[in-house]
Amino acid sequence: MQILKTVRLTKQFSRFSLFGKREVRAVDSLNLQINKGEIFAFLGPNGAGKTTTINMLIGFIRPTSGEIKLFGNAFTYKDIEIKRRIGYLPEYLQLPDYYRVYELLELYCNIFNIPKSKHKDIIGQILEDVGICAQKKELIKNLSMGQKRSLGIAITLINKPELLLLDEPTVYLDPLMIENIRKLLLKLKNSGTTVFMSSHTLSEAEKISDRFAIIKEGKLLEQGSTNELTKHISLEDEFLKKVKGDV
Amino acid sequence: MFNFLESIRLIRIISQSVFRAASKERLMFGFLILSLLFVLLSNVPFLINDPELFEGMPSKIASMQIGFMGINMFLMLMSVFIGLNILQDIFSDDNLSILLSKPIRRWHVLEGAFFGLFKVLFLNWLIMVSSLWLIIYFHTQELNANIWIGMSISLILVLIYISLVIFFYTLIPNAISGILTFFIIIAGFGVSLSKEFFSSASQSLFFLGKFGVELIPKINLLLGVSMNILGIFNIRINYSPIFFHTVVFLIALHILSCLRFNQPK
Repeated sequence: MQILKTVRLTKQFSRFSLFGKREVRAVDSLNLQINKGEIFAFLGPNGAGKTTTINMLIGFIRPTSGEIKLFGNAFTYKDIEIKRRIGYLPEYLQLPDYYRVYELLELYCNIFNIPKSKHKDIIGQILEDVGICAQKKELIKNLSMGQKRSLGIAITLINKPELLLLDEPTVYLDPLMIENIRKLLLKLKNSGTTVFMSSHTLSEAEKISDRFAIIKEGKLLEQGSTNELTKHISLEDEFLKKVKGDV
Repeated sequence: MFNFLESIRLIRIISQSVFRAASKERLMFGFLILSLLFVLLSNVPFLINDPELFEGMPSKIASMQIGFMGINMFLMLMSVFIGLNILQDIFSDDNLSILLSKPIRRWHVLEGAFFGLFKVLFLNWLIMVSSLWLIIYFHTQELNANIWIGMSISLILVLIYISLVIFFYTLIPNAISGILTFFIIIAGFGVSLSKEFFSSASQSLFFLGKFGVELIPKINLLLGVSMNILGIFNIRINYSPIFFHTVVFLIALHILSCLRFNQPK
């Protein structure tokens, strides 16, 4: 079953300068299919259009053309009920420094209208899953970059999402935390959650993804099964071959 | 379907978060201390007690005038500067993208920011007016309920200032929105003068000017109402049209802000 599908998804930005207006295609006719319960690695060099694509998938920016289908239904930025079923982690995470870890997660529990009686259990479980249980009462400003990233992942899990959209989930994390997140993503996958993650850490993507897509300058270069590919060539080599070869 | 109660709930959650962010603003504490020092100056007319110095004005009225000026000036500065600082954080792409990936509409964030800012400024207003009231009570031993009623007009002005900052921020999301807000506030101080000017102008310019003046908040008239209640002035003003215009102005500004902000990039 397809959880997420994009059909000729395109985003064009207008850039204004002294010399006039210039149109830039950040995402160009992107066709993606993500199946239920799989981990999908969305790969591409810097500026390829990964974040723009994810921003369209969460309804933060509007596509210029094309279609997004989430859970089988057409999705636009106006459909907010569907967002109860997704979790999103941005690449650059801006968290309010003056909150304590527990308080911030409680704020997101309130946004999802989760009964107060369940807050303690849900938050406790999530913090244990992401490995920052000991920092529960810590002020966010006192957390390390990696711990903040883990807290960001914790926020995405508050509503037990069916689809996780993660933009560079392992950036700033040390190897121990990366391993922790890897285990968590595999655990989520086994419980039926679909994970769509963009990443620059190709070795990590190779370890955990079921399928992958490589984009460059907004265009899809390749999409397929990670297992099938890695029988012949590593994901990193394929990525370099595709990205350099298409220059 | 539009769920009113759910919207109220979400706006309340966001406003609490904004309130917390705003109450951590160092700039706000700086303004608050300065405003309290200014309010403390309202002691002076009682201490000097020289009618000639205040042109025959009773000490209580002179004291209220100083407090009135300080409170209104600092509330205006606070609304614009704290508002801008907070909006820059709340409406940053990184923060907005997280919020909007949850079942929250854009206008919930906008109204949440508005109410959060208002709560913080209300608290500041309460501290400032309490200080003024205490000083006057200390010297007169009278309850002076008119101080609270008169100064409550400043809260209406705060609503206007915050709404203007938010409106301009949805149009131009940088410091220019603060400058534009100050322009409108200054224009609001000159509403009566411009009305006089346009009434003596040609017919077409009169209509154009009259329409233009209606788009500007009646700040000077609201201040006039406040001064009347405080007893600083005793001028004839019909309060109803001023309040009606202010309510319509605020509603229109919020609708325009929400319509503008509701459109993603």
